Amino acid sequence: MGAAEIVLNVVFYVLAASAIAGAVAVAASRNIVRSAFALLAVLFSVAGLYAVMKADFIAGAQVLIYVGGILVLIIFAVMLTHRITDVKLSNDSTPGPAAFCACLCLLFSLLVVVRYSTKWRRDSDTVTARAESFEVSFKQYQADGATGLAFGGGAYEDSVVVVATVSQGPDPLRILDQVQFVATSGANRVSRNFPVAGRDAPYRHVFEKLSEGEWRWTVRLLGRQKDGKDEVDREWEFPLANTGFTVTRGVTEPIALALAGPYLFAFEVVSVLLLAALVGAAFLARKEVKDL
Amino acid sequence: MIFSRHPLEQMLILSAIVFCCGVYTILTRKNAVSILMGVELVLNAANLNFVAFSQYTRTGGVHGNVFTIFVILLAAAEAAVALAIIIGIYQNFGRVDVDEADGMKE
Repeated sequence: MGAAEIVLNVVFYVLAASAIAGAVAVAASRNIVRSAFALLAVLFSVAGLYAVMKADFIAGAQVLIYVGGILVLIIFAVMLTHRITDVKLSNDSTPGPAAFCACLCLLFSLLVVVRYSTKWRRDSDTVTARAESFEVSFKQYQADGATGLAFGGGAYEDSVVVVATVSQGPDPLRILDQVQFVATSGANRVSRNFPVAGRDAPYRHVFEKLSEGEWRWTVRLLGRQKDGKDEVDREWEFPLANTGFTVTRGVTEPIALALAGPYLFAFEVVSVLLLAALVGAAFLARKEVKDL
Repeated sequence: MIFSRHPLEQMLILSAIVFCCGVYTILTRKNAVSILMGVELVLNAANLNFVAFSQYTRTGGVHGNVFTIFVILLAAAEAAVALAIIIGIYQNFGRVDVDEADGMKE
């Protein structure tokens, strides 16, 4: 276990402890303002846990929306519905031994299911969760036209997928006849040449971890789509030996691609829902005008 | 042994604990604002699971992250509407105990 992993573990346990302590305080505190600030601790810890899981964009969204928006709303609700000068800021709870027992049973069954009845892949302990990553760049041969490269993809437990699309100028095949993709990670650098596939034909790079320090780089040239499926035109495979690739790739770009692609409709629906919630909340909270 | 070196299991156990705290809050509180806090705890536990499955499994892809974003947005909308309703209840009943606000009109 390397030093970075130890630090990551320590950070995880500190964040987990503060999240659990905050959640217990939310559930148990008699004072509603204390509950609200315990919730603040929980939300910040959860944001930190997202960062530990390398979900950087979600961590940012958590801080911005949950802490900056929702928690402020909740504190507003607390302040608006209680006279702050009241000695007892009511946060009565029904005496709930039954609820307590029910929650303990729920927790116990959840823990049993998570820990003992579900066989998570144990063999990945050595791989742990490090999302290894590669950056693929490219070099153009005989290039003098407008040439661009778009990237998508994601990093998983022991593989990295990069989809690179070369888009060229007005007459692609005349400008380029070969592209060179360069896989770099840390100090390691491997380059290969590939024929140009024409305008906007994506190359799908898959980096698979075979064993420690040994990777396989597969490049598939995807042709036109048929029935919604990519047709593989050509395929190349290269071993990448003795490489210790450890650079991490964020999730922001894959999220953006997913939101603009398969989740576009859901995204728009959520936008409309937010607008409806805005109008509805303003309507509900407005001052009643009696004589109209 | 409840401690696990498997990061996915660690996250799932943590989110189970947070989830149960949220359920307990929802079940026992009378104050509407506290119940809202319990709901936020439950949503956060669910989000943790989404992101954990997305980041720690190979087949998960980025879909868990996208769903987490949707959940966060829906939680924002829910909090805004809930606040408006709570203010309405407070104006009509003078307090925000959900046990007492059981009529459509005062």
